[in-house]
Amino acid sequence: MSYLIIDKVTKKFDGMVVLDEISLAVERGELVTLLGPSGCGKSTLLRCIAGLNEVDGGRILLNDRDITYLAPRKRGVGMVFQSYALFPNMTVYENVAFGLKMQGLKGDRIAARVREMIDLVGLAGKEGSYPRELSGGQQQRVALARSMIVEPDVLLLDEPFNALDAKIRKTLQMELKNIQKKSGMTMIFVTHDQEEALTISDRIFVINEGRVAQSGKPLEIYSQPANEFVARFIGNFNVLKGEEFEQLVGEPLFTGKSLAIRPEVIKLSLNGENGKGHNGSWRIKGKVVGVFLKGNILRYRVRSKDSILDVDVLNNSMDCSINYDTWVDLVIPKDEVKVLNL
Amino acid sequence: MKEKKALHRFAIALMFLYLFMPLIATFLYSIATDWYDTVLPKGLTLSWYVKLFQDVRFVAALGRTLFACSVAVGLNIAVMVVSLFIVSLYLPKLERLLQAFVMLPYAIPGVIGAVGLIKVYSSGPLAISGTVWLLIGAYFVVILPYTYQGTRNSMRTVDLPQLVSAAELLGATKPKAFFKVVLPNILPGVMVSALLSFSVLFGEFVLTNLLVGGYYETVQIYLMRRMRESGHLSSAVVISYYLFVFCLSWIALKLGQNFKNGNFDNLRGKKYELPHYR
Repeated sequence: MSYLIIDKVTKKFDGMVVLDEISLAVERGELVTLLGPSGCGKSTLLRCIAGLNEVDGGRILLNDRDITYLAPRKRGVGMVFQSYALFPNMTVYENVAFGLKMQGLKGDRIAARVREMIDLVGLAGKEGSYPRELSGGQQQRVALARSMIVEPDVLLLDEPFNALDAKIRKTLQMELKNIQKKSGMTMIFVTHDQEEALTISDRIFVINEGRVAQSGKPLEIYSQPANEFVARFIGNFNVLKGEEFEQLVGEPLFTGKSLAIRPEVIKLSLNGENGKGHNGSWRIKGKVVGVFLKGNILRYRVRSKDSILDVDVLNNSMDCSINYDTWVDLVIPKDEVKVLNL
Repeated sequence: MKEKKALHRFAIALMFLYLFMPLIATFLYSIATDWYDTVLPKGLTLSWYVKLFQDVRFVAALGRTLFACSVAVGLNIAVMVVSLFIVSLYLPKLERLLQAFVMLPYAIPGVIGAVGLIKVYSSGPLAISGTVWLLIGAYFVVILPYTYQGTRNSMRTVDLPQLVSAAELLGATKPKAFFKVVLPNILPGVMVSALLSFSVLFGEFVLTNLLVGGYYETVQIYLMRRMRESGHLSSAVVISYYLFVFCLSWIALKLGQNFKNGNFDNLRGKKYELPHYR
C-alpha cells in the first residue's frame, strides 16, 4: 500500500469544480512534483492534503491513517509556502524552533535540533537575524528548516522558489534534492515550471483541470507524452494533426490521430535533397521563418508546406550560418513520432 | 540651495510655534502669579499645581476618568481584535458589514446619541442611566471607528491567513497561533489605536456631561467646574492632562516597538541570548 493515497478527492469553490475526483499515490521517501498551469488545482490539492482546505469528497490516507478530516496540526504534514510565511516577530532561531516548542520540547534538546537543521540548510551565523534582514533565498531556507525540523510524514512545497531569481532558484533546486536524499523525507513539490519539475522530481504528476493528465518518471513524461496537453505543456513539442503530417511526408499513416515530435530529434541540414529519407526516417524540405537564441540551444522555426515545425540544435558557430528564408532539409526519425491519446 | 533649506526650516519653525503657542501660553498661565497687563507673567509659582494635586476631588476625578477610559478601551480592543481576527480568517465576506457598523458613531451626533441612551437605559431591565456603566458602554461605541481602523490596518500588514496556517501546521492550536504569532505582529497598530482612543475619551465632554454629569465627576466635569473659580487652576489641569497623554503615548510606542521586534525580554530588563547555541 502506498504511503500517501489521494483517493477520488473532489473540491469545489462556489460550485466550480477545482479538483475532479483526482487520485494519485506517493511512495515513502519520494520527491514527487505536481506540475500544471496556473489554476489547474495543484495548490488546492496541496492545501487539501495539509487540511487548509476541506475536501468535498474522496479520501486522503497518509501512512495508513485516514487524515481527510483531521485538523492540520494533527496530520503530520509540513508545508513550505510560496511567500515563506515566516513569523516576522521571531528570529531565524525562534522560527526554526517554533514547531519543537509546540511539541513541548525544552531548552537543550531544541537547541541541538535547531543547530543541526540550520547547518543542513546552510544558515549558520544567521540565527539571530529577523526575516526582514534576510534575502529571499535565505528566507526560503528558513522556511524549509522550520518545516523539516518537526519531521513531518510528508512535506508539501507550494511553488517555494517562485519569487527567487533564476540563479538562486537553480542552486536551491539542487540543494533541496540533496536535502531530500539525505533526510529521506517524502516531499510533494508544486510548480508550473516544467524544467524545475524535470530537474528535481523522482516522479511527476501532470495536472490539468483538476485531474491527473499523466504521471511517471521525468524522462518518461518528457519523451512519451500521453496526450496533447502534456506534449504542449511539458516541452515544446511539435504537435500536428495526422492529416497534416501525412501531407508533409507523403505517406497515409496517421489519419484521425494527433502526433508529437520533440524539436531536438529533428535533424536540420543545408543543401540536402528533398524526397523520402532512408529507412527509419522521413526527409522534408522547409524554409526558415524564425531563429531564436536560447542560450546553448538555437531554435529554428521552419515552414514546410502548410505546417510549422520547431527544430532545436546545439548552439555552435556552424549553425549560426542558417538565417531567415534559407531553404533547409529536415530529417525526422520515425520512432520519434509519438502518437498521442485523444 | 542653502537659502531654500533656511526657508524650509523657517516654515517648519513657524508651524511649530503656531501649534505650540496655545500650549505654551496655557503653561505660562498655569505657573503665573499675575498676568494681566504685561507681555510675560509678573511672577512664577507652582502653587496652582500644588493646590491641584492636593485637591482630593481632582485625584478622585482623575481616577474615575482613568477607570472609565481604561475599561472601555480594554474591552473594545479585546472585542475588536478577536472579531477582526475571526472575520479576516473565516468570514471575509462580513468585513463590509462590520465596517458599516463600526462607522455608525461618526454618523450620530453626540447629543442625539446621549439622549437616546438615557431614554433607553433610564428604565426597564437594565436601568443603568447615570452610572459609570452607561458611560463605559457609550465610550465603547464612540471609539469603535478608531480601534477598527487601526487593528484592521495592522492585520493587513501581515499575511494573517498564511501565518496562522503555518503556525497550525507546526503544531500550534488556534489560540496559540493567535497569541504567539498574530498578536505580536499586530500589537504596535493595536497599541496606537488604543492610545488614540484613550486620548479621544480623555478629552470627551459632551457624552460625559449628558450621561453622568455630577453623578460621576470625571476630569472633564471637574475642569469645567473649576474653570469658573480660577483660570490658573484650570490651566494647570490642562497641562497635567497633556503631560499625562504625552507619557502614555511614549510608553505605548516603546511597548509597541519592543513587541514588534519580538524583544519581550527587554521589557523585563534581560538581554536576549541564543540558548546554548554558539
